[in-house]
Amino acid sequence: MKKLQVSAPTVSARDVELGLLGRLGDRIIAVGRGILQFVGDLSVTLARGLVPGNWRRTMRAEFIRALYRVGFNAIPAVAISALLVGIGFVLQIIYWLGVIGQEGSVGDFLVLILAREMAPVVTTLILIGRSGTVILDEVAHLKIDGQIRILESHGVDPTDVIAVPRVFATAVAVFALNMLFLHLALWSGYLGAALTGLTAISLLEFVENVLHGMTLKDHLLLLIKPLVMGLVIAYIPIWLGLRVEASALAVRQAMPRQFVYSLLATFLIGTMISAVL
Amino acid sequence: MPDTSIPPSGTQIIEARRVRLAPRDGAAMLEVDLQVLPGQLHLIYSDDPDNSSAISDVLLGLCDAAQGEVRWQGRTWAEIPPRSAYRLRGNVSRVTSRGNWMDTRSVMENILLPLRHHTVLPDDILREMACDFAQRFGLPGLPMLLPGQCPEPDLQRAACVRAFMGRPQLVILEHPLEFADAGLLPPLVDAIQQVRRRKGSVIWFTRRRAILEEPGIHADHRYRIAGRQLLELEAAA
Repeated sequence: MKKLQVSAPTVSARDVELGLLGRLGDRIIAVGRGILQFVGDLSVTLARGLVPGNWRRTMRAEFIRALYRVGFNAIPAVAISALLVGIGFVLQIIYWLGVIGQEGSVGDFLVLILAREMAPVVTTLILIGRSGTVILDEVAHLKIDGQIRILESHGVDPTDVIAVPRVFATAVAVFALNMLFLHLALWSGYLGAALTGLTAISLLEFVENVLHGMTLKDHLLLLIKPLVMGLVIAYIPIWLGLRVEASALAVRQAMPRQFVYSLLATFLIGTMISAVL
Repeated sequence: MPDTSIPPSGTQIIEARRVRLAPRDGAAMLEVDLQVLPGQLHLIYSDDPDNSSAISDVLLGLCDAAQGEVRWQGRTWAEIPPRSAYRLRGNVSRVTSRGNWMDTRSVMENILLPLRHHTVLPDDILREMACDFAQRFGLPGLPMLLPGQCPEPDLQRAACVRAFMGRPQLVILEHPLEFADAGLLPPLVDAIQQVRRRKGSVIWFTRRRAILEEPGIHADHRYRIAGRQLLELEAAA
């Protein structure tokens, strides 16, 4: 009868030499190198996409397809989330500010919390969950099955037909869905409060309050934050997918990594842009 | 007007001198010596599709050789900037033994993709051209199904349609008859002859000995992989 062979974990001579601190240093250098490589690759993709003359018809077709899949198909999820946030959060703000006699500050509060922070982050998180894993799975299988290789053999740069359209489509989708989220949350919150008699302010007063709460920086933030978040959360799964080794297990291992990286990137970008604007 | 995509007579389209490559990680090195001139057909007997893919990849500059260098029209792939390399590979068509199709696009979209990317020919002209090639290769028309829904012999024919569309300077065929019936051979040979008549070149990998020995296929050079070397069998008369 065959005996089950159990091999002891191997420790390389290099590990022994380096010690804990050395291995930690190695790890930090590897992570730093990975981040630099990611930023470099993303910059190349953005530079390619920002030149209108580079958009061949195959890229335009892929952009429309990606926009439909990432953006249009996410409308129900974003709309339902926005309605829930509107009823649960906006209505509460309107009500409690009314209770303490600060109804005039409704606009400032909503702009500060909803428009600047909550809407872009919630919209981006929905797209990370809905599309991030799908993009990773799609790109990784293109790589593993050799389909990227056949594109390259025909002189089609995968950056052109895989990365650029998806990245730009996701950025546009996050921007548009963020607007949708913001409007639905605001209107549903106000309507909820008005219909249940929790607020005495009129619709016009509410709109005026919100618009007065918006500065030029807030308008800029509404444009820049979702676009940057969209660019990055689309490129993370593409970047990981193109680096997946040839096995289905590697794809499964890359999925949680993609989710965590996207999440961290979203919060990091959100904080940085909010700090600047 | 002269066709600028065709190199002047005598200029090699592709040249690999004493190139050594590893078909797989850890596999023994394979030595390749190959010069392809305009209008030539090189027939290679290779019973391992991995060898065929590895040779094609190195010839097209998609991966580096362990030793030696490959020249495309006199320039090594290393000295060609990446964007230019992609543009040059736009003149190449390839049928691979696996991974021919993006499985989320219809076969028709897959067929049209390279020409839609590299040319400004209107879509309806491209579709018409593809339909014509599809019929020549024995398909009733352009397959609109996803690759996963198409029978393998039809996919093989469709891969040939894509390979011969446009005016490729170099066509690389990796085992194009693997899953197809005998009916694909005559249109394939005919298409190869047409490419050669306009000074395009063809490299054809096969693992059918009958193809290698077929006198009706007028190959300029015939090879087989002997040991770890690409060995020329005979020189064309």
